[in-house]
Amino acid sequence: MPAYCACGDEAGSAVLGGATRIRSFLFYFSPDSPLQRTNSLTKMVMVVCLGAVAFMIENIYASLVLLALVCVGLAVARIPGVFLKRIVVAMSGLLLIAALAHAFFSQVPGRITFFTLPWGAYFTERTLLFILTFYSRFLTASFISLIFLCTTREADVVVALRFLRLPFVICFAAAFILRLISTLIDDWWSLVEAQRARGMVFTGSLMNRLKRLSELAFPLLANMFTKIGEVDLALQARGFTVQPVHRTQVRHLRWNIYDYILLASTSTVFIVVAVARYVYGYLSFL
Amino acid sequence: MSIQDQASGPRVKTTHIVTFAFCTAVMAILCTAAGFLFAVLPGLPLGFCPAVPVMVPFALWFGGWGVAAAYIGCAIGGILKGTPVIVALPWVINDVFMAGIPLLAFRLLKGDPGLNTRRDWVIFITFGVVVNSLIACTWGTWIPVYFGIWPSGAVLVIWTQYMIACLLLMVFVAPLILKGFTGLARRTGAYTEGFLV
Repeated sequence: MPAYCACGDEAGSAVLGGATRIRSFLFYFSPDSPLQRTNSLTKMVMVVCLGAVAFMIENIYASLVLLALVCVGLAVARIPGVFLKRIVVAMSGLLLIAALAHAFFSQVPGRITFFTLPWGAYFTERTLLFILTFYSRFLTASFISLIFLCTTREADVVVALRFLRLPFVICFAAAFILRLISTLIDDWWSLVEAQRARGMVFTGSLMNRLKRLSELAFPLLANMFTKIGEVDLALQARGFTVQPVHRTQVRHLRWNIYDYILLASTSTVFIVVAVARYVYGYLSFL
Repeated sequence: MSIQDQASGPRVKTTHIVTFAFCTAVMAILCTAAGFLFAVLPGLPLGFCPAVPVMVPFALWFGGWGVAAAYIGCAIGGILKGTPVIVALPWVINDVFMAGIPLLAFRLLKGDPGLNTRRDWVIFITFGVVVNSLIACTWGTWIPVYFGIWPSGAVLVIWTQYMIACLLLMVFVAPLILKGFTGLARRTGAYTEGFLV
């Protein structure tokens, strides 16, 4: 059972296995993780640049190299494998449909044609290669987002937004949304447990399970309306206003050598790949 | 609603921001849940997203705040379940169409989200079920083609799946939410008669 610290700058941290860990979007990460030394804005730039690079590269070998590099990044950031599994499970429906769609509706020319379909689509050895390339590109981009989600705190995102000179109301809303997600997930599980205690079972046919899930959505909405009133009142009681007023900040975005290295390397990779792909025509599938 | 808010007439208030945040968080959770639903309930059609029938009531109750919540919430939800940022941001524009079209129709044609009259039902079915689903599903099936997720040849089949899932959710779930919760939504200070206030 983690011991939570809910004061000052260390809010949202927990003591696990003797070391204080920091709560990110997805889990408690070690403060000595190398990516903890970079700020959230650098990580946002990395997600966008490398995500775009993953989709620009259509060559299987280059794509696999990038995937391997991202996996090294995951290991360096000390992200548990369970999160990779979770991402793959969550994306399995989309990935399966994508594979089936390519198998039955694409026309990728190749040397060996395994089957031809009445609507003109055919499956060749290069179709298989195309599906593998797609999986590699998609997982690369997903894993880059995972690095960000696992090594960034909700508060860090708000600090980055403030650094970009966004109005306070937007920053406040962003912070509030990110905090609410975990609160509402807890509410959801409370509802599930409450309904289970009343004898609700989540087994049976597809329709039955969907009906049970929909029965949970209604209390969640009712709960939401109650909380809106409470939070609104609490904010008004504290004198919160949406009008622009001068505000001070406890946290500021800090830049160090790791940020400059990461920014320079990701933007260089982005420019090199964009030029290679769109000016010289390298890294394309065919 | 505070006395200060009541006296100053319609303007953006704290309640709007709070409601927007709650709606966005609910959207994000429902959208993330969609990814795991596919994994635990095999056989669901693509496009079966529990956020879809909730975003339209949010837009009808809270105007532009509901539409913004639909876009941002689904973008966050998509990213949390593993969709790359670069794909998720353009893809979820379909939710702006999904929530924005019924909002426009209800405001311009003076419909009541409580669906009390036959006219309200006609507006809802036309713009809140059919027209918005048509446009949102078309967007939602073509954007992945650009990113190579599926080939253009598969668009018709996937579009049909998307459309059926959207229509089913919108026809069976959204009216229940609108009928059941419009009164409650009206009592929050965030209920809007226009687009923002």
